[in-house]
Amino acid sequence: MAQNTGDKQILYRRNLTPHSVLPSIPRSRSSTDPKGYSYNRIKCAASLDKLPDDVLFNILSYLNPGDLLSVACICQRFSSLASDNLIWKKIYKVYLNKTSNDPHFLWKIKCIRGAKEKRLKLLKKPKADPYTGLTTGFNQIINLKIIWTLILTNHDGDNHKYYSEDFSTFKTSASVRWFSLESISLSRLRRVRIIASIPLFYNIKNQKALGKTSTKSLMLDKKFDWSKTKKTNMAGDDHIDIYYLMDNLMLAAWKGNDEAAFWHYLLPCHNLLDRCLKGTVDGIFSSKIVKAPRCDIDPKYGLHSYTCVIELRNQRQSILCERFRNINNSENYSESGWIAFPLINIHEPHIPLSRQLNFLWKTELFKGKIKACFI
Amino acid sequence: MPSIKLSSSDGEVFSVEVEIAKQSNTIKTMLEDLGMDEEDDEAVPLPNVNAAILKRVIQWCTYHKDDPPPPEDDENKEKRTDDISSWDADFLKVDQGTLFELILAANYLDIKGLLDVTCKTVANMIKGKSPEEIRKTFNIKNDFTQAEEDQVRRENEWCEEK
Repeated sequence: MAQNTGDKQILYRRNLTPHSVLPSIPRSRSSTDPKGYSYNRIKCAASLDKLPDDVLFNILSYLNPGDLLSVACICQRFSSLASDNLIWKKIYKVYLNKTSNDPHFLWKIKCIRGAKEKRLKLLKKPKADPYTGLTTGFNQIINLKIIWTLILTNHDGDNHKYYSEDFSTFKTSASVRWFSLESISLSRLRRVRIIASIPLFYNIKNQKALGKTSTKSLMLDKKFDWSKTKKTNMAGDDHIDIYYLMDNLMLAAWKGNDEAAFWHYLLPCHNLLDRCLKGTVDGIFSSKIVKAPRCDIDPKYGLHSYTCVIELRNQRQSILCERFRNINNSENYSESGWIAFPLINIHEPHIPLSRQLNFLWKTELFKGKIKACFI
Repeated sequence: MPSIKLSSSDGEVFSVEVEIAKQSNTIKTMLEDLGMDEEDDEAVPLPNVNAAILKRVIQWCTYHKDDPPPPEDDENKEKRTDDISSWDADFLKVDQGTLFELILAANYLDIKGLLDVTCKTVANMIKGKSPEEIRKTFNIKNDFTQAEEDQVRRENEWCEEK
């Protein structure tokens, strides 16, 4: 094990002659260098990285696994100390409640793997919402304490990162928003990424994350060019313009200068939990496309008993959420990957969707943008 | 009360009650095994502890002289760091240099209670921080090459930070 012994440091035992009555201190650990006792004897410029290994082991023994993984990234010496088998053996026992007699057991690697498996088990299979029939997994996502990272890459390759825990859920989708963005010019942006960071170790009792160590799943990765990227101006007022960019990503830009006021990302609930947990830092999790079941006997009979939920909402509240049940399509109105479910059917008329809309705020944002609105 | 004299690395001599000094296993062993006479006028040399630190160590040992012996560590339990007494917390409101010297002194003198509480304090300074924040807190140089750092981050699931 590397020992960080500076020139000015003197090994205490070698310098004992005048006071050799002092006994040696029996505090050594099997995995440490027996010469690990280096003291700054004369001028004590004591600092953390000058402490002997056995003392550092004592300090590390108070850390939870998440913090240990952070410590392992500091520098060479801490990397080897914080990866020590003895420490992780204990963590394996305490956090995963398991043990092994295998002498070649790689405790740290097994701990990380075990934590991932355990995290998956913590997530009970999400239940389908009785109203929409959708399995959202939103509760699990909230319990996981995901941190959403927006990474903006400049034309010179600089990455700017913004973290958000502003996650709101609705019947059919969820939203994340990033505020307080330091001024970064939109015209210099070349790439936009969104990453979900999920803590690796949790306290079993209160489900709180232990340490900052997390696994990452890429959710969105798009090239960006402010002048060329197709954007739809959806709304605006005296100060901002709101654009829909691509793949459920929206951007509010300040008028007059090319800076973002906030970014908004909409997460459809389809496979959301898997996309958050099973992706990698540079690979988006992709699931198999489930084909809609067809009626074998009479293809013309089409698809039936589907539910359609229409939701109008902002970031904070649902304004309108209506459901149509038992809708069918009799002849597979399918076109370029989409299937149509006609709501107006002579044999099975649906109640028209109508409701008084109560907006709790007054806005000029849509003035001049929306000419008519109907469903 | 019988007392002994302790001499710091910079030559200052402290007179301490034997019972207080015996919280240090190093001194205890010395007195018991090596038959050092309590009445001996000669001061016990502590070449690794300077006067300022020794004074603080004696202060700590004096306050804690009636404490029961610290319990053995339970290997099956997570070690707590939130059980530092308010007196100890106040006592350890010192600069980092002093804190680390106290740790070195507690380690050398083998005073388990003091070593535990100082190590807990440092652990609390580490908890919840990212690698970069820890480096900044303790002024530690990042000596990884870029390739090593990438590797280490992957191994520790800290794939992006900075």
